[in-house]
Amino acid sequence: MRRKENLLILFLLAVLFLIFFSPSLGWKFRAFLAPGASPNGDYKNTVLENDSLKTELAKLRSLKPAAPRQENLLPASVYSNYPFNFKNELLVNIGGENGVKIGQPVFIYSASSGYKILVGKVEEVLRNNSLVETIFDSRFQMSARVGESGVNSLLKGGNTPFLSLMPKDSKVAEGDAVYSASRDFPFGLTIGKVKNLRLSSDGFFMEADLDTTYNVNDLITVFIDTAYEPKK
Amino acid sequence: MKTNKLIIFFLILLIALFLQVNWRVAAGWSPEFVVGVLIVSAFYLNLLEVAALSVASAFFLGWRPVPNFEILLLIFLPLFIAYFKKYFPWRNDVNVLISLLFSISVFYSLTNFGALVSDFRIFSFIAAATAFFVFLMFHALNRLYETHQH
Repeated sequence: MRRKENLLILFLLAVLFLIFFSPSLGWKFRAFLAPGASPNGDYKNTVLENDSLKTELAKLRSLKPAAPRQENLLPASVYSNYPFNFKNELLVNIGGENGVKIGQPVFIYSASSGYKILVGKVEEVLRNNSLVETIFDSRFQMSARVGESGVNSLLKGGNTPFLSLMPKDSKVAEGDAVYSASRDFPFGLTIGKVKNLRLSSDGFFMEADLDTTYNVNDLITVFIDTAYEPKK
Repeated sequence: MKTNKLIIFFLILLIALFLQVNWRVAAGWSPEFVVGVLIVSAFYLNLLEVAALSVASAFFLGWRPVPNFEILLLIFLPLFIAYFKKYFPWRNDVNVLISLLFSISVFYSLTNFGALVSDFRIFSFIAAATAFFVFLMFHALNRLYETHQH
């Protein structure tokens, strides 16, 4: 009996050691249990192209052209993601030493075509790692515009992110592009498309789900715009 | 049944981890299978064995370089149940379900209370699916082992 207890204590200490000094073994084991991630970072080019072109069109028709902004998209490997419900965080392999700052936007990006989609923002920066809060996190919230008429809406994160507070008479249709219009992000970043457009339960507004066409749990590479200076 | 209970629980934990991770990839949410296994283990194993299983779960589910509040809760909630189960007044199959609902409610109240309120429907699905899993597991194990008493 005493020997069994000693073995258990030894096991406990060994696992505690791994938790603090080699947590990546646990991340790798979890990744091994759930294979199926996209094999490369050049995420489904056609998906990016479709969604990004819709945003470009909407921006061209509804807005004056904005001055081009300098970007510095750093690729970051996704190490692990939040394992419980309601939050959606990714741990990536670049951090403060690489110039990452809290609030910088995070994308899926195709280097060959230049198209990109906003996935979330940097939430916490460590020396060599950063935590990204994705748009699938229930705490995530940002202003967004919809379609060619640039209808204002509030994007609320969650398992299925949704758009709310669109005026009832606004010209919005299924499949319209959704893009950023928040002071926390560069203007006009593609986020997704409108899906399941409906009247809100109180009948005063339109609301819709956000169609993202990618699975955030499949991502193995994202890009952080380290040139962006987040607003204080 | 001579097979070591702890080894059986460790295998069930791995299955639960597999289910939880893949369910989440497919659906975006998942029942708390791992928490479920830990809560059932609190009724079958001694405190040290529950601690070993909880710490192993923390290792598998950790997603940050340093354990944070969620991971500490994952370790301490089953230990809390394992220690205080002797004061629970009902039959053990009822106690295990109440312990599970208590643990999941405390976990999400402390880590993301806003979502618990705004997405109560999803929370109810998670709690119900986990309770069903725990109910089946508890009764299956009850045919093989006696619950642990202090």
